[in-house]
Amino acid sequence: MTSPISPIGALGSVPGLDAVNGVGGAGALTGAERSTAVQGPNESFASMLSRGLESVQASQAKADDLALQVADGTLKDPAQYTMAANEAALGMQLTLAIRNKAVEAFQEIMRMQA
Amino acid sequence: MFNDVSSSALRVAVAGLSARQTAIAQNIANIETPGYQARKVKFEEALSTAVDHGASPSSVTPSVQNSLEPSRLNGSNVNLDEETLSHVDTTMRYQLTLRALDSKYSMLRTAITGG
Amino acid sequence: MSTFNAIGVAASGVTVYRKWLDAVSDNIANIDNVTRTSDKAFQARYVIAQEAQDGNGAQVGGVALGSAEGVLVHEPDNPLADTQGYVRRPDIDLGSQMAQLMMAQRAYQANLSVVDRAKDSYTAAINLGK
Repeated sequence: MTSPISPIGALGSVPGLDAVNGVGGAGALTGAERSTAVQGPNESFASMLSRGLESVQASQAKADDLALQVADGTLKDPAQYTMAANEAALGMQLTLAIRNKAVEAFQEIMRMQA
Repeated sequence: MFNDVSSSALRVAVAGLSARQTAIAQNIANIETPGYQARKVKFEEALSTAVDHGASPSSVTPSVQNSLEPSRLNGSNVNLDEETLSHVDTTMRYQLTLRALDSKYSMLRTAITGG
Repeated sequence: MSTFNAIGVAASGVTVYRKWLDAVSDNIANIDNVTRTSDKAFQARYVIAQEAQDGNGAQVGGVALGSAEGVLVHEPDNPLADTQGYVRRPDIDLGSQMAQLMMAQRAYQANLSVVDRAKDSYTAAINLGK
């Protein structure tokens, strides 16, 4: 169980995520480019992002378990911990980067519609 | 914010390893002091017991005990080989534990600054 | 020195064993120090280590002096010989002084290594969060 103010929770609130979802679901866009956020055939951007968040949460939980082993001295290979910590950190940065791009794209679309 | 099980356990480990480093320094400084009893710091078992039973790790404090090694001719029971190896182990684990705390801090920092 | 506690403790050890090394080297240097029978022989110095009073490391508890009588040796040709041809030589055994030298040297180096390793630990603690 992560604490209430875990880093992952901070990512969950993405402004305009539903709007991006709606644009993707409509299929066609008035204007130039198709939203780059929709990738899978029937997958909405929101569910992709929440899958990403879950996997970051899982890798953070794994890093936390290994951190416990570091604390009580039972970890056999320190590289296991440092790898898990790096994966969790990179996963989070990647998810954040995707979110930020989505927000930018949304803002650009909003400008076009006006 | 920093009270989850692994942060708490890491903080206890830092305190324990630091106390152990001081105890090792004491033992090596007194290696030829007649009648000196080497000191050992213990915390790992108490920590894993607390975690297994779901208790908060912050209740664990490192304890200092006398070593059960036999005394040498001059009455000191400091075993230099053991102390040296223990010191190398302690310093490396101390750095790894600090690294673990550091990566928790930086994850939070990334989330706060938004990447 | 109390913030970087382990370094202060090890430093006290370094001091004690440095004094011990000095005493032993001095004993060995004076092993052929011949004196007249009317004077005292050169007295070997023995450093007594004890735990520091403030609980941090070790200190020199005192210096014991060896025998003042030394060993009476018959050397009539020695310029310092008395009327019966005896001189005093220090009661110092080279073998046991060498053994002490090795012990003191080993303890000295062990304490220096502690300083070095503790310094790495504390540096890591200082750099946390950078």
